[in-house]
Formats: sequence, C-alpha cells, structure tokens
Amino acid sequence: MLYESIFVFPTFEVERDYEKCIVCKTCVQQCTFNATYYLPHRHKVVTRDTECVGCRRCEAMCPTGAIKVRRYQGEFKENAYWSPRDLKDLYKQAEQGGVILTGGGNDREYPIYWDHILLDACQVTNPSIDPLREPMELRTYLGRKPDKLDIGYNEKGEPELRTKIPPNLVADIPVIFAPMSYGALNLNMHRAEAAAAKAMGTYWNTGEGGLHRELYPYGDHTIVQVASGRFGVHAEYLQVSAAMEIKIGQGAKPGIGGHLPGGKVDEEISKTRMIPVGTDALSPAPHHDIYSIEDLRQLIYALKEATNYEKPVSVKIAAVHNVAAIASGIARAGADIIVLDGFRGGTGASPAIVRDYVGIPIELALAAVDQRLRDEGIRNWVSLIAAGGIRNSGDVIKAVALGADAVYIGTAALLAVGCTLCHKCYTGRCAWGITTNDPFIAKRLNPEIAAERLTNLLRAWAQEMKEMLGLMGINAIESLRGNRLRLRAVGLSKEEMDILGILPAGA
Amino acid sequence: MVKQIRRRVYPIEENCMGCRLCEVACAVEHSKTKDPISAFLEEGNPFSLTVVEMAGPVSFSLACRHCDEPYCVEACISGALRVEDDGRVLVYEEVCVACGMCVVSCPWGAIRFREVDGVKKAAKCDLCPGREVPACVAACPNRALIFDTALGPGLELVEEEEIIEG
Amino acid sequence: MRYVIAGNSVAAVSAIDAIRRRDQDGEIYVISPEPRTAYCRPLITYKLAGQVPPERLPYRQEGYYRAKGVNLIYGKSLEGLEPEKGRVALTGGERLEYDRLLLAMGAVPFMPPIEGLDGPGVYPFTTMEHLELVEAALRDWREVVVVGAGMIGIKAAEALHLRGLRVTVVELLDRILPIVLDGTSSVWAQREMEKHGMGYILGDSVVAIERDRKGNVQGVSLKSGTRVPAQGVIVAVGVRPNVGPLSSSPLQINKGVVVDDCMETNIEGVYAAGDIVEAYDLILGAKRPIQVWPLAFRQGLIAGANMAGGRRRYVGGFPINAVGFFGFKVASAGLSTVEPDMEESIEVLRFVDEERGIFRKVVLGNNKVMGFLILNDISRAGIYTGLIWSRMDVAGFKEYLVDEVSVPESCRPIVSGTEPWSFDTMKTHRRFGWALFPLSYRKQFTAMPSRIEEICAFDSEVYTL
Ligand SMILES: Cc1cc2nc3c(=O)[nH]c(=O)nc-3n(C[C@H](O)[C@H](O)[C@H](O)COP(=O)(O)OP(=O)(O)OC[C@H]3O[C@@H](n4cnc5c(N)ncnc54)[C@H](O)[C@@H]3O)c2cc1C
Ligand code: SF4
Ligand code: SF4
Repeated sequence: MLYESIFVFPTFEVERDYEKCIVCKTCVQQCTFNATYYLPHRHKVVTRDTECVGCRRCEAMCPTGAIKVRRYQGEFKENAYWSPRDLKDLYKQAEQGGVILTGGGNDREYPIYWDHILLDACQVTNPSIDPLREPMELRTYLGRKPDKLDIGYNEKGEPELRTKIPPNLVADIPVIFAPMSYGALNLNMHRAEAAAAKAMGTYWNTGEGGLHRELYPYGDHTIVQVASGRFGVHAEYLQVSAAMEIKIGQGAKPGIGGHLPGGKVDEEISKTRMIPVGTDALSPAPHHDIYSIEDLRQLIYALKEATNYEKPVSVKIAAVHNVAAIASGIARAGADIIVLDGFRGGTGASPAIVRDYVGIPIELALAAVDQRLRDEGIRNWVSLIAAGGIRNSGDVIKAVALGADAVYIGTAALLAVGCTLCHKCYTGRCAWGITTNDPFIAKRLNPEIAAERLTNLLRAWAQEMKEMLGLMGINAIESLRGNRLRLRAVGLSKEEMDILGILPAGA
Repeated sequence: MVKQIRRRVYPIEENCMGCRLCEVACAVEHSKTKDPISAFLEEGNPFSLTVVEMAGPVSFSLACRHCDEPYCVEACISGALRVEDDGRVLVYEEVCVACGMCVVSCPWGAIRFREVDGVKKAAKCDLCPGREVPACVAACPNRALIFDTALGPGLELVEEEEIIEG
Repeated sequence: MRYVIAGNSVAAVSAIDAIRRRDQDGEIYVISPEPRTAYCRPLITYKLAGQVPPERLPYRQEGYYRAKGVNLIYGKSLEGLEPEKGRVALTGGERLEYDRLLLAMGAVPFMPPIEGLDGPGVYPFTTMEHLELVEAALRDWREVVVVGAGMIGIKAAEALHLRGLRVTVVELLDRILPIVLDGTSSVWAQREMEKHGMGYILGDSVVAIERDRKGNVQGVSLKSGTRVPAQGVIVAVGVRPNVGPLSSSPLQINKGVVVDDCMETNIEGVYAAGDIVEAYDLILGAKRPIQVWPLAFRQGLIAGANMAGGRRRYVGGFPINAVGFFGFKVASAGLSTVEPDMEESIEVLRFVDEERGIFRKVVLGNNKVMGFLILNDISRAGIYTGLIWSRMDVAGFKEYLVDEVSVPESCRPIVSGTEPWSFDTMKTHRRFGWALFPLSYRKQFTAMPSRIEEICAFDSEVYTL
C-alpha cells in the first residue's frame, strides 16, 4: 500500500458488507490498531488489512454484523517447509533488523500431551459417585505437610496434635489465577481477578509488578510475587499477602528477563512498582542475588522471616530440561510450593523466537518433578502448581492426576474476559482492554463484568471437575493427586509414557 | 408525602468506552422501522436522543436527566414539556412550536431539534415507552449506563422543598 | 390559610403548583382581569401567524384549576393593596382578605409619547385581547408599521408578514433585536429579513401617527422626516412592570416590585413573581426586572413554596432567550450583546463563518461564562447556560468553548473535513461538551437530578459593565 513497505503482507482481511454497514463508526472507534478508519467526505468506513491483527473487536462490536474478519485469502506459493508466518517474520526482520516480539503463549504445532491422555471411569466393580447427590471435595491445601504427625494426650487424657503444621493456602478449587503483573495487565483486570478469587475461595497472583493499594483488602486471596526486578516489594506488600512467590522464570521466556516500556509506566503503576513515572521497568534475567540453591534458600528465609513464618513461600520456575533436579533443590531450599510453568505459558511480551522454541511441555515436566520428589521421599515438603496452557477442567484433572496440587490459569482467564489470542499484548493497545494501560482502552474491561465472567468460568470448571471425580469414584480432589493409574495414553511413545508414568490405553 | 417511583438513566463514566452503541440503539428505537439497517440506510437522518460526550479518555453517554425541577419545563412557552406522574419529562410534539427555549435552557444539552417530515420539533429522551429497559441501557456492552427506578429523589438539597407530589 | 394570587399567567400557575405540593387544604384565589385560563402568552404571535390553532393557547389542560382547588375571580383586577388590613381591593371596590398574597400581574406594554397614538388601528401586542383586536383589524390592513425591533416586535412582524401584509419595522437603535444581538449578528438578521422581503428602518423613530378624518390610520411619520404608509401600527417598544395599581401602597417599588431572595416583598406575607418584579440578576449582581418566561416560572415556584411554609431561595436569574423568524434562529443568555474589546475585564470568544452560517460567541468575565449568543444551529446551547448557572471557572477548557464543531451531533460524523479518522484521531479529539468539565462537576450533575445553580458554590464577586 501507498507509503508502506512493499514487504508487508496482510494476515487478515476485513470484509465489510456495505449493504449492512450503517456507518456508525463504532468499529473505527474500537480498532485500537488504527486498521479501520473513516473517510468523512465519502461517508464510508474502510480497513487497511495490513494493519489488522485479527483481534475481531470490530466484528464483535458491529451493531449490524456487517464485518467479517477472516484469514487472508491471498497465498504464497504452497510450501510445506516455509510457512507464511516464517516468510512474513523474515521480511519484517529484513526490514527492521530487530527481534520479533510477541505476546500470549506458544502457538506452534507441538504435541499436546493433554490430548493424548484419557481418564478412567468406574463400571460395575467400583461404583461411581453422583456429585449432585453426594458431597464432593475440591478443597486443596497448598504448602508443606509434615513428615509425620505426632499425637499425644493431654492431662485430661484427650488426644492432641503435637506437630506444628506449617502454613498452608486453602483453595476451594485447585485453580488459581496465574501471575500477570500490573503493568502488563491493567488495574481493571487485577480488580476482576481479585474479586473472582475472593468469590470462589481461591487465589490470584499479582505477578511481578506489585499490588495496587486499592486491592490490599483482597490480600487474603492474593499471592504476591518477588521477581528479579523487586518491583513493588516492601514490608506491607508481603504482610497483606496470603503467600509469597519468588519468580525465577516464566514458561514463555525461560531464562530471560522482562521489560515494561516506560511509556506504560503511568502514575499509578509508578506508585505501585515504586519506580519513577515513564522509566522502563527492567527485570534482569537472573536474580542477581541468586546463583545457587543456597542463595535461593536465603531469599526464601528472608521472606519467611519478614512475615513471621506465617505464610508459605512459593518458587516459580520455567519447565526446562533438568527441571526435576532443580525442583528437588528448591524443595530442599525450604520452599513450600513449587510452580512449574510449561512452554505453552503466556506472556505480555517476549521475543517470538524464545517463546516458540525454549522450554518443555508442562505435562512431562510435572510428571518428572512429581516422580523425582516421590523418589526422594520429599514430595510432602512442597505442593506443586502446574502452569502454562491449562485450557479446560479436563486439563486440570489430568494435571492433578499427574501430580499437581493445583494449577494456574493465565491465558484461560484472559480468554474468559474477552481475549481473542491476537497476541498483540506487547503493543499495549489490546482492543479488548486487557493488556493495556491506556486509560481510554482499559475502560473496555469493566471489572464487575470481568469478575462475573471469571467466577462463572471457575464455577463451571468446578462443576465439571466434580463430575469427572465422581465418574472415577473419587470424592475428593486430594485423592486423585498423583493417581496416574486413572490415566491412560493414546498415541504416545514408550519413553513418553515412561516419563508421564502412565500406561497405554488398553493396558 | 407519598414517595413515588422515579425513573432515570445514569451514565457510569468509568465504564464508558465511547463506542456509541447507545446512540445507535436510541436512533433505532426512535425510528419508524426499529431495524438498524433500515433506520440508518433507508429512513435517513437517524436521530439519537442521547449523546456520547467525549474528550480524550473521558466519555459517557448523556441524555435527559429527567430533573426533579426541569429547566426545560420552566422554559417551555407552549406547555409542550411536561413532567409525568412517574417523573419522566416528555415533549408533547404536537404542542411544540419549536421556539428553542428548552434547547437554550437545558444545561445538559439534552434537548435538540429533530426534523420529522419537514417539521422541526424539540426531541428528548423519553425513556423508551414500551421497553422495560431503555434501548441505550440494553445496548451498552459494558454496563456504562444503568437504569435506576429508585424511590424518591435521593437529594439532600430538597430537604427545603419536597418536590414529590402526593 | 388563604392564598390570593393577583395575575393568572405562568408565575401564577407555577405558584399554584408549588403551593399545592405543600398545602392541599388552603384556599387559593386567583384574580385576573382577563376572562380566560392562563395561556401561553408568547404564542400569540404564533397564533397570529396561523402557526398554532386556538386550542393550543391555554397553558394548562382543561380542569386544571378545579383539580388544584382554585377559586377564580375573572374579569376583576387588583386595584389596591391594604396590607395593614391584610386585604386587597378589587375592581368595583370589593375587598378580598388574604393570609398570603402573590403579586403576579406581569408587565404592561410601554406606550411612548407619539402623536396620534390613541385611537383605533394602533395596538400593543402582549395579550389575547390585543391579538383579537389585531385579528379583527387585519382585513382592513395591507401595510403595517411595527414600532420596535425587540422580541415581540420581530415576532409580530414575522406573523403579519406571513399573513401577507407589507410590514415595516422601525427601530430607534441601530440594530435588530438590540438587547440580544450584537453588531455582526444583527447584520445577519437584517439580511434574513431582506431575503424575505420584510422592510425595516433602523436608527429612526416614529413621531406621529397620521390619521384621516374618520380617525383611520394612514401612515406614520418618522423623526427623519420619512413617511411610511400604513393602515395599522403595532407598538412593541418594551414592557414595564405592572406596578400602577400598587403605587399608593407601602410596597417598595423601584422599576418593579422589589423582592428578596425568598420572593417576598418588604411587606410580610406579600410575595411577587414574574415580570412585575425586580429580582436579583446573577450576572450583574444587582436587582433588576428581567422579563422572560423561564424566570417567571421559577420565581412563581419559589414564591409559592415559601408562601406555603417552605424555605426556598431564589438564587438569581439572567435573561435567557430563543427567538426565531423565517427559520433564522437566535439563542442567547446573559450578556450577549458585548462586542470584543468593549470592556477590558470581559473576554469575547467567537467563531464566525459566514459562508456556513456559523456564529457562536461566548462572553467571559474572569474566566466565567457571563453570556453567549448563537445563531442558526442552536443545538445544545443550554450547556453554556448551565455554565452561567454554575459560575464555573472555565479556564481549563477555554480553548474548546467555541469552535467549529462545538456541537457534538450524534449518529453523524462527529468530525468534518476530509482527513480520515481512526481510533487515534478520535482518542485525541476534544470537543466542547460535558466530558471536558472537571470530574467533580460532571459526577455531581450526571449522577443527580439537581439544579446546578442551587448546588454550585457562588462567589460574591460582582461584575459590572
Ligand atoms: C408576544 C410575547 C412573546 C414573548 N415571547 C417570549 C419568549 O419567546 N421567551 C420568553 O422567555 N419570554 C417571552 N415573553 C415574555 C413572557 O411572556 C413573560 O415573561 C411571562 O409571560 C411573564 O409571566 P407573568 O406570569 O409574570 O406575567 P404575565 O404573563 O404578564 O401575566 C400577567 C397576568 O396578570 C394579570 N393581571 C394584569 N393586571 C392585573 C391586575 N391589576 N390584577 C390582577 N391581575 C392582573 C393578567 O391578566 C395576566 O394574567 C413574551 C411575551 C409576549 C407578550
Ligand atoms: S479491530 Fe481488530 S480485527 Fe478489527 S480491523 Fe482492527 S485489528 Fe482487525
Ligand atoms: S421548542 Fe417546543 S418544547 Fe421546547 S420550549 Fe419551545 S415549544 Fe417548548
């Protein structure tokens, strides 16, 4: 197009039915990417396809259904090796010479192990349970459990527990909102997460950008993060929380740090993150005070000390090659919870190349870690949270059976409030008002509606999970944890099944 | 002093994203066909009684407040503007002489002239008779408009003057 | 409790409403020399033009007085006030006692000293009676002179023109609608009159009305010596508060009946409202008569409430006008005639585009809106009126007060020109309207159905020209 590089090929095309277009200009006002515009003298709305990111906001908002956003019809010559995406990325880099950025989670074609795992059900010999008639327990305790219980008798001869139980989180549903920072998300999304977590008796996680003061009242349902940039970390922040989490890595970009551009650091974010307005918020790749398990132990105990040993401490790592050994070290360093973030995990901004090719699938990592900790006899020292690509309640059940105590949902939570996976989070212009701090666009996310949607989602998943537990004849989620016998594999290799610790279907 | 139901639409500025679908809905509701495509493309001159006020990140949909003591009713020289028993302020179009006194008086700019079949008349929000919830409220995707059917005026100032009729 | 209301027009009606909201039992008497229900006085020119049928003239529906329990004394005037006895004198010497009295006798047309004024064919134009007289005379008239180019004069002239008469408007000052328009805008108004073939003579006055031997009007002669032939003359050079019948009473009367902020006169229990009063002018900071319909209504309402035991304050008022002729619309409030550079303390913001017929002017004093004048497209002009009521400091959004697209029209392009508009352009676009106002202000008034002038804090600073 005129004035544009000739190397830009559209990915989407916007078809507008002019028989139906009433020129209300809602789409123009809603297209934060300026792809759709209005020509006053022609009284017509048109779209620059090359700018369209496929977020489908316009389509959703058009009052007459005049818009269809579809995959671009024009094609490059068929090539089974070079995909159009590869071509376009390459053109872009040849043009700009920089790293290709993206948001969201890994969208490349890798095996999805969840979809190769099937659940068992009871027939004849062991009765299934009807969740509508019988109580069903989804409550999960997250934190260190004692090696053994010491029970004695008091003077009156009554039994009493002598063991001191370490602090645990109590989640009424084993689904927790994943760490997504204030800055990457806006305050409206944080408000919604906090309200939904509270309503459903579970937790949400601040991510590495601190906790806005307005949300301190939700502290009991908040896990606060301490990341390499230490943004927004102060005594009160730790004290209001339910648990603290040391973020070592992130599934979408293991081994690299974060970067919140200065332009996004407004007054409120600056106050919350404790950095000046307009300065870039750079999270270093490593914690510069953690170069060993011993260093990590120091930080874990520093946090515990600061909060009087009243709150569990979690450590979040990306699922990488020798994740099992690292997890063992973390457990031994004194962590109460370990979060494993698989390679499908989302992000606000990451180099595409890192997102797409670094890390390992959560299913394998989870099974490996659970097994290793069991083998070492320290599984009860920590709870495991699986994160990165949990799509539905089936994934949750399978994760629990593979050894997770709970899961984090990030992308799923964003989808619940409107995200269409256009992966433009890094631009700060999210047309659905989720990953933007532009006060005008952020208004599109009404925290009240978003909280309702998140609550509905969790409620629906809880219902489905109870059904699945019931059909397996189990009445408490804790009885399913690590119960890999209830899983079977289809279409997996022997090695994969070994790592997952599950049998092939039919066996 | 009998309190009575008052009906009003309130804008919630924090939730308004400026999409102006309320205007579309209002124009459609007050069209002949009540179909968006016909209303805009065939009938011509679609007319919304609510206006989305915009200035940078600030936006909200502003229509008649249905004041307790309406400026327009005071100003109307023809008696075309009246306060109904349920608190709605309505224009009786057949009475209006289009003098513009109400247009100049309403501090919200909520009354404008609408030309129907070549005749100009004052037009303002009528809270959509025949709809349970006004069209703008129903159309707002982000709950930026709420329809309040509260009891009484809820206004401290009126302590001096109970404006609710028995 | 007996309420006596002298006058039966808008101030009286709104007072009746206000009284009945608080007191359902008290007796209400309404005295009026006009033997008819309250009617929409300003509509008499529309009626003359044939734009409204006679049944539209009553201000309230049939049965209004009965429903409100009002005793009507039609055909009698208040002729005197005997406050020490708590009674009023009516035509024919009758006396009527009151507990609370409202003087709402309006204004009477001013008849200037013109030779030959008395006699048939010369009428003021403020009442139904005048309307009936003029309508009856119409068949003998082909040419008419309207003396005075104020609101009533212009509207009457338009009506007579529409009835097919040759109309000439004579105005002493150098412009049309002199108390509303400024120099530029009155030129536009004149052009509009010319376009429709209506004659006008400015800067001249009628000194004599010429009559033939039978007393019929033949024409008028002007100070300049010009002679204009006419069979009828309408005199519309302004109205004066109708204080004649009160002159011998102890009432404090200046130009009109002086009232305090409860609309009470210097005599306890005697209130006044409408065109007859001299009440506080919010902009000038002094009392003066402002004879417009909305203020008459407001004053009646406040007086009525206070008569029935309420405690309401009249914050003040300022002229608010909307007038149109031949489709040419004028909207104004407050100080609208001020010219740029006329006064140092006063700032005049204007946007004028003759070709497109856009004329907007806002008058600021100390960054507060003190008046405005808008021609043609008067949509949403009331927002300016609201700013006058609120006395808000507009410095923060002054640059947007008047501009080309200051009227946000919905469902139409909010923009003009040829530049394409996208999200970014819309986002950065600012236009005049409520969204520009300070947060506290817009919150307060978009969330509450309250009167702006009663809630906003006023400063005591007073502006004088
Ligand atoms: C032709 C015309 C056009 C107008 N157009 C506009 C306009 O467009 N906008 C606007 O704002 N204003 C307009 N006005 C002004 C507006 O009509 C007045 O401000 C308004 O009518 C004042 O109301 P009021 O109740 O004070 O008195 P009035 O309407 O003047 O009524 C006075 C009442 O008192 C009665 N009365 C008189 N003498 C006595 C007595 N001695 N005893 C008892 N009763 C008595 C009369 O019969 C009448 O019922 C117009 C006026 C006229 C005449
Ligand atoms: S709103 Fe989204 S889908 Fe629609 S044109 Fe813009 S970028 Fe494309
Ligand atoms: S325009 Fe119509 S409704 Fe408005 S004041 Fe005039 S007559 Fe009344």
